[in-house]
Amino acid sequence: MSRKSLHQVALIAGVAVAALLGCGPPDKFSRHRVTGTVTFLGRPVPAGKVYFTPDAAAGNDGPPAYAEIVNGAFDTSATNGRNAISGPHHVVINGHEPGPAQADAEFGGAKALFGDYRTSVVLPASASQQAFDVPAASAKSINY
Amino acid sequence: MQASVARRPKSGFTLVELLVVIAIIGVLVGLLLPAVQAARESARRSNCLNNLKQVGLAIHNYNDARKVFPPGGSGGNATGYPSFTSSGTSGNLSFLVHILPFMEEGELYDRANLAQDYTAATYTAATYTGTASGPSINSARLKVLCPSAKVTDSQFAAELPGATTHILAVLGPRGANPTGGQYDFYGNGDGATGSLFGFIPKQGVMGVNAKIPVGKITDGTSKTLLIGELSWDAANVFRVWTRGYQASGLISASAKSTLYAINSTPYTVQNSFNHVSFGSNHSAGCHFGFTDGSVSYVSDSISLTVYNSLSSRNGGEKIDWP
Repeated sequence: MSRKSLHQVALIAGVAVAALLGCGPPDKFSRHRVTGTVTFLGRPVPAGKVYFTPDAAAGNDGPPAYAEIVNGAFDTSATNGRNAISGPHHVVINGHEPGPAQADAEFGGAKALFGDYRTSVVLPASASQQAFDVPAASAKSINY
Repeated sequence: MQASVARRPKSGFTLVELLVVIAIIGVLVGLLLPAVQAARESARRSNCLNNLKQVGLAIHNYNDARKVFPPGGSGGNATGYPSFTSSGTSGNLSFLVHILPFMEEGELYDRANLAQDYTAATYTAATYTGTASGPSINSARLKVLCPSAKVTDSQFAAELPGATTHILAVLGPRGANPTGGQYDFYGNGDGATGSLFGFIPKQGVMGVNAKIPVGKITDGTSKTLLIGELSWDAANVFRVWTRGYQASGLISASAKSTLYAINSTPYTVQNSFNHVSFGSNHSAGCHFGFTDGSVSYVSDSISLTVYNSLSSRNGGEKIDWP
């Protein structure tokens, strides 16, 4: 077998690999990365979650986005996150004490630092940065 | 000797030819394997969807017999909350226990004492499997586990050995109502106390201690969620399948709200227990059963407005749902 046919085999293999990795179905929403910081009483929130929900009342209906807060910072394109569409959004932030959740305990959830803080934001049609400061009044009620 | 060496290339393969054949076989297997895996996952999805359909039918048979839908979870009485029995004596039990007679498990149901909690002796190995050494509180025979899920036992040490369920009731909507204001919940200035595990919605079909007749589902049964799949690995909220609603603490184990998007929120912070997201290990969504008995796959890109509108039985929202 000649070197030329080896090249052909390599070419076929390459095409096959490309076909396998392929093109998945494209997301029909145009999503953008949102990064930023969350602080409470002047300090970074150790753990929690930020939710961006499109504001349907303002004419922006679509898929929700979310991101985990790690040491005061969040990134919707990190693990357990989902990028956001553009337009007016409701923002809900919850924060809790750090540490892994205990799987084998009834009260496995970590202690909440504040009740869910609600605000709103208009996200641009490109990657953006947001900084949220949770007011002290949110500490009053942690029920929701 | 030399003559035989000269003849050898004419019989058999050279090393390069062998390598090429192996490479081609490798490529073909590489093409086949993902297809096989996809077919297997597709089969598991069908199985899971079928389980949900069967539980939905059992709930409908319950409705035919009792003229109301079963509660997502039954339990004792708390001030301001509904009660399941007039005497207030109801065990902490899931809707699955209540529909056992309609899943051809009447024998198990007859042994159960509905005034006792899920932890009582009626739900231990000897009575539930017929053999003292058998697996206790076995939900595998009830077909309420998703084959794609990895967590099949309770994640609460005190409930072990006890199998969990991946089919949970939809407790109701929580959050903003697109027609204005918030969806109604207990503790919303109605004299009821709020829950540290997350407030309990009022506007679902299978609420805690609820007995909702079909006439109260004014949004239409084909546009109202009844049960859903909660089987994603990271959810961290799996409890034994018999467990329902605990009045002290207002903890709903067998029914979850639709406050958070599908696949988004595990149980990490204490007040999210009643609101942990529905979700699955299937790609990008999970299965839901509707109140008309239909089942369907719901994408995790669904708008929260539509999701909560589907979850409410009397929200009066106008949504575009097939």
